[in-house]
Amino acid sequence: MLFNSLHYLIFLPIVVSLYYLLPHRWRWLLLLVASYYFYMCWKPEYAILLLISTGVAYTAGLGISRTEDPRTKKALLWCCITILLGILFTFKYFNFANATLRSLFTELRIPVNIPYSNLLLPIGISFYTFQKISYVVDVFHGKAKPEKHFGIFAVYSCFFPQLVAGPIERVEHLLHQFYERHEFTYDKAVSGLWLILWGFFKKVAVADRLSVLVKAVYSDPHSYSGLPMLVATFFFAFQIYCDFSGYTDIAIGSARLIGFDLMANFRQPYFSRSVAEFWRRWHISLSTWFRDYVYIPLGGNRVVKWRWYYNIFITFFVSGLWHGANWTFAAWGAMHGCYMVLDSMFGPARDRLRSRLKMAAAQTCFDWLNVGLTFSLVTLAWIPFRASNFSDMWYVFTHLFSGAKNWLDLGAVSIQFRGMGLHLDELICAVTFIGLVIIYDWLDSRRGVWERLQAQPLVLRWAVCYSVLALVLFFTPYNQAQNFIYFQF
Amino acid sequence: MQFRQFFKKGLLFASPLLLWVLAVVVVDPFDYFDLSHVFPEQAKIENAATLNTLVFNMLKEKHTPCENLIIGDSRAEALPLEYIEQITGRPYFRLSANALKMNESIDLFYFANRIKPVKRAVFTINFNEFNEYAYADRVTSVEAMIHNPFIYLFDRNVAQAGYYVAKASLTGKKSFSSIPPMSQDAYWDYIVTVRAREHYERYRYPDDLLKRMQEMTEFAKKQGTEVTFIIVPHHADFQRQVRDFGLLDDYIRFKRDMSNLGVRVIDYDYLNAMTTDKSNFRDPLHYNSEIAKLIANEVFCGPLATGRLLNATWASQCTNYLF
Repeated sequence: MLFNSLHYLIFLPIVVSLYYLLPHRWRWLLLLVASYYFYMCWKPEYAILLLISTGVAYTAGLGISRTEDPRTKKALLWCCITILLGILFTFKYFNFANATLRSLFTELRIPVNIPYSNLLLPIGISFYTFQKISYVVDVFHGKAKPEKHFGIFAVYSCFFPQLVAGPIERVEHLLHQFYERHEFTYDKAVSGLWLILWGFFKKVAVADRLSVLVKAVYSDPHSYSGLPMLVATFFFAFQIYCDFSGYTDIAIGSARLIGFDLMANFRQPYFSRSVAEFWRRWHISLSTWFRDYVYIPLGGNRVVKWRWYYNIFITFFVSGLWHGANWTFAAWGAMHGCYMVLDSMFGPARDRLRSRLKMAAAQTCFDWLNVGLTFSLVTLAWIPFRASNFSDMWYVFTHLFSGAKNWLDLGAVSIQFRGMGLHLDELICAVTFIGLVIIYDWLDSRRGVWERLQAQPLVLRWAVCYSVLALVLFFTPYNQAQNFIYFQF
Repeated sequence: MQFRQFFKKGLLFASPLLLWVLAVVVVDPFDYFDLSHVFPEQAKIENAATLNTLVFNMLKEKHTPCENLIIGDSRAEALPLEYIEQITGRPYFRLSANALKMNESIDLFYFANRIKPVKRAVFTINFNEFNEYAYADRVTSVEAMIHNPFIYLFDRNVAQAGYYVAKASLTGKKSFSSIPPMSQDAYWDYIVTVRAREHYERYRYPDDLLKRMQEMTEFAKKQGTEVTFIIVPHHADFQRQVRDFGLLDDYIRFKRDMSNLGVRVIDYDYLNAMTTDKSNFRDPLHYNSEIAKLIANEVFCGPLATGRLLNATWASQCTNYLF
């Protein structure tokens, strides 16, 4: 079931109403049924996978806590991780590994003919696998207590608002909330609805609109000159942000309607002053996951320098592959790995330079300069993320500024944008909406927009809500409805 | 207690939306629901249909399907419908829209067939739209709207058309004019220079579109639909642009491919007495009503005098009659 579907708009109020009507002791069951129904709307048989991985993590968690022998504990942990990653590999990476091996062996003139798998990628598999791995690892390290109630653990593993695209919750943050008695509170419900509304705006009015031009250019970049590619890349930076943060807002808002708090996943990432800061603000639940379960176990920064840089690079490289079974994603991860290594090398010098600037205005200018630079680097890295293959990626990289001498010739520019399916008025809309998202984020970074709104008179509050609602209703390109990008991961 | 407060405020908040829905159902500029007749049909035709011909025509086809269709852009709209009905003795419907692209014409054909099998379909086409970059996707969005009233209720075009219809009905004046804001000569030059550049500067032969046309003609043959393509005339000033933009080979290939479609294709777009006379055209792309009548006579009753039946012979000879 998609958040941006009529189905969900009917499903959510029913679940919320039933949740508050039911006695507390049955609410977990309602959420479990609702979550499995939510997941099974896509492909019912894949719910078995979800159930198997839940059973494996639950059994491993209990087993680890009940045994005193460290070797058995370790064996149980690795057994569980192997099964969970094995499922992930089979469904997500098998064909990718097969194709890579085939091309490698073809180069070596060794015939290899392993058949390709026809299995569909189960949506959200990377998310729920990682959530379960974090659970067993935390239980192993004694950071979390194992959950004894299978039903509660099952609903923690498949809680519908965050099941298919996160946030990847940690056991200490989410699990206990299923035991808490949530009463309906007006303020919480209204703030949840506001988040859902803003999430919808970002997803349907902004991301889906931008996707038209991005799709046209990136499906055949060789047909376009520099400017459309540059615009498409810039648009993609906002498409993916609005798509994913829009999803997260709807997820957090939906959970809030039934009294749950999910962790924040985005904090105005495009206002970051360095790539390191960007990763503290973008997909926070995943970056902290990689920090805690990959980077730190590798040794983190408590090692010699070259090894530290290696740890950083490898963490981002693996994070790239987590996103998709394609070398373009690995290239994206590698780019960010390089950025982060460079940041670790030169970041201190940058900070020293900033502290030497005495005037506040000069520091602000320096910060904005860094924001611009970080945004440019991150946007450049989106090219391999969006490109279908290495050839397209290379073409875009090498032709971003081709034909730059004609960029002031409006006639030539309009011809370049012909046939992309996004007319001038739509283009103006898209740019205006990007501006709105930037302003919203800027306001939100200083003081929460919702808190600001609450301090305003009712008329103004409602006027703002009606305006956003009108933008959602009247500016949704209905025939361009897209899946959330992160569903495929 | 808090839930009751939430419910009450929610209802209050939703009331303007309900009013909006009611207003759209009452004005109904494109006769989507066909329930309310508070606003006169003439106001809807003059305003809503002018603002968005595609929505208006597709909805009309949906409500009163016709098995004989004329499909195309503004050149199809120029063909005299009543006259055609009179000379053929059959009802026809113009399933057309301004600036309709050829891929959209095909979409319209299939759309009409989904409602009722089409017996006769006449398409107006020309090389200026036979370009991979001459692409739009409006038919699918209108079809989505036809199937989902929610989209109609909250569509910006519908809101704008509703406003025009209401305004025109209350004031008795047409809400907007479609006359270009320049003299006829200036407009002629504008088409020959600016518009020609838009059409031809960025060109790629549309293999996918050709394939879709072949599939469509195959489908039509199987269904027993009589298909005719009219390659509508451009004034020689615009025809010359094909050569000036270096597209002569593609143009010849276009005619050859059209002749291979296996249906009746009538070519008016070559150098002849009609296309060299400025008085036959409103602008370089649009013929006037006399020419429209001439084309209607030749295509629907025959015999062909100016129009040439596009076959392999004519396709190979047509280079002698170019520019």
